[in-house]
Amino acid sequence: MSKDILNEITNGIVHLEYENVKKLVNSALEKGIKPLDVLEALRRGLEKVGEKFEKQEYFLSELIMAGEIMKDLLNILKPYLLSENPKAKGKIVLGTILGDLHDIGKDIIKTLLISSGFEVYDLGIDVPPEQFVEKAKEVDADIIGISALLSTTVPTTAEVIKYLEKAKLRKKVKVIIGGAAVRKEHIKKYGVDAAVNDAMEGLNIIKAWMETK
Amino acid sequence: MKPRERVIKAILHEEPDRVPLDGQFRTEQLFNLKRHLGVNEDEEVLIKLGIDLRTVFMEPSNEFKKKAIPLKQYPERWVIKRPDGLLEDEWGIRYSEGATGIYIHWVYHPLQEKDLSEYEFPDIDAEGRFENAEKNVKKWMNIYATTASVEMTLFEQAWYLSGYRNFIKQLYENPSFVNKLLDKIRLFRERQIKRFVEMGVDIIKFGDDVGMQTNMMLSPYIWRKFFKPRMQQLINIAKKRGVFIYYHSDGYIEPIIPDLIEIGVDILDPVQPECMDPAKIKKMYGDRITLHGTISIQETLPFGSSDDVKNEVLNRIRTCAPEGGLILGPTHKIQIDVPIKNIITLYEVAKKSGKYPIRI
Repeated sequence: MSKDILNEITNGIVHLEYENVKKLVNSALEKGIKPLDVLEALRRGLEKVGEKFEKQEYFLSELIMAGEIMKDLLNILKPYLLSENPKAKGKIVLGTILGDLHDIGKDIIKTLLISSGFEVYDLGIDVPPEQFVEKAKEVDADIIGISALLSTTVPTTAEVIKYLEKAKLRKKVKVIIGGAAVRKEHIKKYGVDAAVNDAMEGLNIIKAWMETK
Repeated sequence: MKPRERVIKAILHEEPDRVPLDGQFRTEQLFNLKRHLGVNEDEEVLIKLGIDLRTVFMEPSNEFKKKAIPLKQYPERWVIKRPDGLLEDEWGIRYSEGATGIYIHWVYHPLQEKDLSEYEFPDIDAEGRFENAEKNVKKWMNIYATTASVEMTLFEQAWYLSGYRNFIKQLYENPSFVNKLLDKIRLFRERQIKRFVEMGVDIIKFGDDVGMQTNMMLSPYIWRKFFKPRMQQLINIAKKRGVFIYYHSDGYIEPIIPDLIEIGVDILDPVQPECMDPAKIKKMYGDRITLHGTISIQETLPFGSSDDVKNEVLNRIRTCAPEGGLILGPTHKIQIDVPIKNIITLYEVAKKSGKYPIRI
């Protein structure tokens, strides 16, 4: 019974049925199904949406819509989850680099990271390099993720590395850059650990880092 | 051959004297180009580079312009500087300048607070909106191919007014709101297009960014449901008067190219080589659509050498220019990280090697 309703929740997210999923979540909680299991069902749904996005069966509008449904449902779940805080797979500080005001790419990877169980600290857009490092220090982050769409802003990522070295955190914190203007050669050029222009590739690299940590 | 004839022949898939050229530049680059070429006026830069098209814009009303200033990043857009530091345009949309001052970001959308029924669109008949466009069309019409911008046609104007994530959500949850908003925008665009058509422009530039690097922002299903039929209505107004249709969307939009052709688009811009292979698009649709742009603004122009630029231009001419159907230029307004020598190389190589019949 509980397995059925959890499967329905997962499928509801995949088919973007906002009202239906909301009803199902409320009814699952009323029936005494564990909030963590409900969360897992939602996460599985979002993960499937991510896979469909990667296969180009789904487009950004669907990924955003699934993310919006998830955001609202997390608010419903939050009070139930306070007592059962699941351990995150890792902490990541995320933001679009100084001078760049694009947030779509950053929000895609954010949705995928949340759906994979990461704790994400989103600094927004136009983020000064030192702010990435300050936040990483404050929350004891494992990873810094830097987004850049513009060819003019990618070089500023090198500054983040300098601040990390200055804070003696370079060995502890991995750095990944992503965005349309990002190229593989930027790994060496700017001293980062990974460079991608595909969100799914970024997610897989981050997962692999945390598995071997 | 006059630039206008050159462009029209290319759009009709005939071979003119050479591949027609286009290009737009950020204000800082125009300044650099003027200094480099030893000229004083923007127009002289376009002439020296061999650019065959000229674009006109709709402007805010005179009344709004009295209290506003042109945005330095996009001089065709005017804004009021608010006491809170934000910039506000005639539609009530607010922007903030990034920390570096190079780009702007949308931060406030009037339909977040106001109901659509209470929101008033700018008065399209207000004085000052089309006077400069009219003057420029008269000046250029017998020499250059004149294009009129009706960009941010539907999708972009809709999300500027209602917020990006919010509008996407409404597309799935509240089609009745979406239909009302899009119809209101469509009626405004209809009148805008009619004014430009009456002036005698050759090309109407439609534009809505619906592509990303490797996928589309909007699902083709959603695009076909809400946007395609309205685009068709707008295109018909211009087509009836023999005006060519140009459509701009950055990024990857391959799934909707056949739809765009079906509703009457003649010119596809910018065909970013990182997102869609121009040679492949030419092979598949080149007899029905003209490619505009195609030279990489993400990679080759900012980071490549002059030789890289030359090779890309030659490659594009070889694969996309035969039998017309190519208007060459950068795939976006040239940004500040592009070396001047790469800009000059693009246009010099294209003028020299783009002569028909193509022999590369």
